[in-house]
Amino acid sequence: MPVIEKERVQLEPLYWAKQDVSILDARILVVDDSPLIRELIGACLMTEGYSNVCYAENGQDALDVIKLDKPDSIILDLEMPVMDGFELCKKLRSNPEMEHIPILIQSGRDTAADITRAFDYGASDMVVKPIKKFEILARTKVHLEHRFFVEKLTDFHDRVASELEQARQLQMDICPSAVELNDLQNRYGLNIGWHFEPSSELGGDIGGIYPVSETKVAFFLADFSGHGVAAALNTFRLQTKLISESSLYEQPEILLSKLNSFLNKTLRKGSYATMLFGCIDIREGELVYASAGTQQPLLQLPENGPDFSLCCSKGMPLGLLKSWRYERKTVPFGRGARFILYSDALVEVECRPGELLGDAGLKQEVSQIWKTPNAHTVQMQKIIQNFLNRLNGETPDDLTIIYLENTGVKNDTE
Amino acid sequence: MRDSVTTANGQLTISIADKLTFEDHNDFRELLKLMTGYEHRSCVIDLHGLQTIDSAGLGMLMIAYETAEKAGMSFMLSKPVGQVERLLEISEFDKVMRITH
Repeated sequence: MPVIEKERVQLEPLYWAKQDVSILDARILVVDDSPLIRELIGACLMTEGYSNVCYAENGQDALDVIKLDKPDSIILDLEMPVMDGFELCKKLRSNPEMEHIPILIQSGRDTAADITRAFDYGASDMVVKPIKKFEILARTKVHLEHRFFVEKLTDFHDRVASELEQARQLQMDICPSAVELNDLQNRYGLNIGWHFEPSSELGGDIGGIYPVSETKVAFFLADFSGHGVAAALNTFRLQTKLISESSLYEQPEILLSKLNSFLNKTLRKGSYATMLFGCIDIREGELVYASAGTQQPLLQLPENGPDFSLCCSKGMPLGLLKSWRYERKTVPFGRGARFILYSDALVEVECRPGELLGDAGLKQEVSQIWKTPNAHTVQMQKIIQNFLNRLNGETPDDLTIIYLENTGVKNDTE
Repeated sequence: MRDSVTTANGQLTISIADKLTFEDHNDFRELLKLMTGYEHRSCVIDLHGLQTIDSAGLGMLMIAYETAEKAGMSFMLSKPVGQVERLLEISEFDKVMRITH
């Protein structure tokens, strides 16, 4: 029976955390070399209702019992043959699996030196012989309740951490894969760079790229206000809606109006998303886009020299008002043109004490990077490295960077 | 967020300083109650001391505008500077509400 119990706990560690398990089900190990004291303590516990009491007659015997089935609490004598209570305490506390088990010492040794030594070796509490039933029961109860409570919290914490990690992974999964990007690069004669790094807290960035026709490809970047699970779930909501609106990919201004009304109905009041949706026409060498309050994208045109310029990205963030008309913007995007989209995390970092990088600071930095010819992957890595150098520790928000370059060379193998 | 409130001649002036972020959500809601609980004809949110605002803060300003509109009050954002001014501009808040510089 105890073996079956153990297997069940191992298979479903969270099961117990979810249940209101009574502390009376706790497994208590009584360690004492005197059979009389063992029986006395055992009887105290049983009459109180504890049903899972086991015994050992010295430290070594206790280790053997513990190996078979881990107890929830130990009541321990100090003076015993073979292995005494001090030694057992020390051994248990050096085992990571046993370091938090409550150990209640019951002993006739009550000098300050003994008590100090017992606590130094890892005892949780101490009662002095002769055994007083109410004292031992009260202390056992306090330590068991505390242990159960901490276990519940730990299990809950572990489960939430694991679910957040899964959600983070799901966010990564909805980004275009390397294979998809490679296919699109060949099909449209583009160089595409894609960097998405969700923050540890989960965030609200989402980006995507969709083929529209043989000569047109659409892309977007959106960022939901706030952080955490709600913002992350909204990215999935937006993606589902976007897929059902594929007929509007060539009319980004109408698409954004529609998304604005949709999000106004579905988001909490005051919540919103910033978004830029664009469509590249490879044949015409043109890029049309509409924006709802994103950071300003960067555009480099070979005919205008090596510097990037900031494009207009003004627009009411999606979801704040019931209806809104968005502006359609058109920029040239012929051979050699480059367009960079990014989320706010990239520019909301201090470049000097008290001074944020901002869109204009990024424009200068990116222009400088592209003055030295390199593959776009190398250049993007430099942007990311500059960003990381400015951070103290973890990424505070999702970071997305999307790079699009018209190479003018289609390499469609289909 | 640091805030101060003054009233004169039917005008409610709420000055917000330092930061307006997600953490200020509850305090800001308390401020909004001032707009509906009394008979003010107009509401001015003075932003000249506000150094930074995040996405939640921007949402709160839109809620303040809508609250004023529902209560039949005129509404104005006053003297935004720096990052706050840029964010309001990029989000086209000036097309919905009065912003004075």
